[in-house]
Amino acid sequence: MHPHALQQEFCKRILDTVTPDPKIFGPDAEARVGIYRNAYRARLMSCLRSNYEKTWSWIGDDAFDTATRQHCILNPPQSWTLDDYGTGFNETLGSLFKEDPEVAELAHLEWAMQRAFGSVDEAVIDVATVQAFVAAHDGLDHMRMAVVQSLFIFPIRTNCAAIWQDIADDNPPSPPSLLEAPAYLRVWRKGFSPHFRTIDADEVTALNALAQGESFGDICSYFTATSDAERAIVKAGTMLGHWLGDELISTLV
Amino acid sequence: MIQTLAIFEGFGLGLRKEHYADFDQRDVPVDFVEVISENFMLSGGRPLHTLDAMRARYPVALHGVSMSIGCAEGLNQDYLIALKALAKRVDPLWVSDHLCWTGTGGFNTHDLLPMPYTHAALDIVCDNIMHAQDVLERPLLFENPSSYIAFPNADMTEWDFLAAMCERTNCYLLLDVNNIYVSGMNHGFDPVDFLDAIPAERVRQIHLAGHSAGHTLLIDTHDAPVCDAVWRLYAEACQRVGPVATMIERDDEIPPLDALLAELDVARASAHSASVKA
Repeated sequence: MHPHALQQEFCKRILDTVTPDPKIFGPDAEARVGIYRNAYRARLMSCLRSNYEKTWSWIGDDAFDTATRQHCILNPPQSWTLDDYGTGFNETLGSLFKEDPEVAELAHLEWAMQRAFGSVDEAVIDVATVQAFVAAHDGLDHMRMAVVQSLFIFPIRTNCAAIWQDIADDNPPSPPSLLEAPAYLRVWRKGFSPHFRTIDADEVTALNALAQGESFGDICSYFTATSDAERAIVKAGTMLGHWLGDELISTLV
Repeated sequence: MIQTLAIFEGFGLGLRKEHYADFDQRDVPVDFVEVISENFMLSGGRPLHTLDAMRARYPVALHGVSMSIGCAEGLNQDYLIALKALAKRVDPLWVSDHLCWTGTGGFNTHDLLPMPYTHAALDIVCDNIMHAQDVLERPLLFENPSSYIAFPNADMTEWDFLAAMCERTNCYLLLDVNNIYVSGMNHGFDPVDFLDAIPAERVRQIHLAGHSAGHTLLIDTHDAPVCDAVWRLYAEACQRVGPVATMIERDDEIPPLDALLAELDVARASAHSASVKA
């Protein structure tokens, strides 16, 4: 048998439970292939436990293991790095925990933090740089900013962020609940550590506008459409303060 | 043209995150550390910062698990490019991986799967090694993995395969003495025959590790101290290979650093005794 055909056959026997052919795999094939089969499954489950530690803690061993088994069957790894294994696990959890939306959202948060952790290193803009821009351009209106590449934003409707924090702090987790209004989680890396902050739809609009190359003045214009000019400027200014403090702005463009 | 790789004599440890603080706060008596390449093939972040700090104090060897040098479909170019970038950053003693394959058809098992020791497989492995060495612009080391399957259609032994591979590609060997022992017990060959047959002059590094006993086979768990039988085999290896880099490799059940340093002292003493006998 050519090595390519043998490798395809081996992979099939790892993924299924069909008895391996002794003519291909030698005597005692079932037990010997079984070692690789078991190691494969154990490795993926260990990987998901590591990447989704708090989700695992939240739903417990049995439910988590059931979810990982389903995910592993439906999503065999393809990337050369196990760091990528876990993509879409929140969706698997979402299909299994339809009545408990905080589970998938907690997993989504953990996954975004994992991705932010290994994202590219970037210098960030500080307040002094913005002040220099203001002095040079007579204000902020024409300032365009690029955000760090570690930024992830996704919608939430539960208190998954509070649950994450409780587990991280070794406190009894808050009971799951729906937020009074849908919100968003902004995840990014500050220094070497991933962080998250709950934000509203206006901030998402502003960050999307930045990504589209729009100016700070354009952002203020968005807000003046829904509130008076003074409030709009205060709101945009407060956001800018948060972004700078959170080390979210990589460059002025 | 792939250059030759000088011998580095020394005793080191596989760097694991459980020991980062020890390495940061102490002057750890090792001559080098080995890191798992894939753990640092990242865009950025703390792991690379930690590696840079480690590299400033110790020589570093890069040891990979995902090159899949035996894959009949060829190598993943993105992987090679990422590994090359890491090697450029680290300037390692050398870059190593395993004589194995990890998947096919877009499926990756993330395991070190056994090669069929056939002429066709040898052609595939050699083509892949030549390509990887060309891309990385350096000679590579390949480790003998533990195995649980010996394919009935083999044309040659594992050690004949390794020897032919080295001769055809000018690659080097990372000899895992525990893996020789585990495979020997699992397949019924004498580990000393393995040592006698490999091209000793191509060995640049030795791994020492522990294993576990399964129902009928030994399992390469790398989660236990080196056993007496492997220490005896290490002494035999030292007599044949001479002074090369030796490392304790623990992947699971990571003990306190001092326990591994004590094992490394045993390796030093054993290598010294072997050199006196030789």
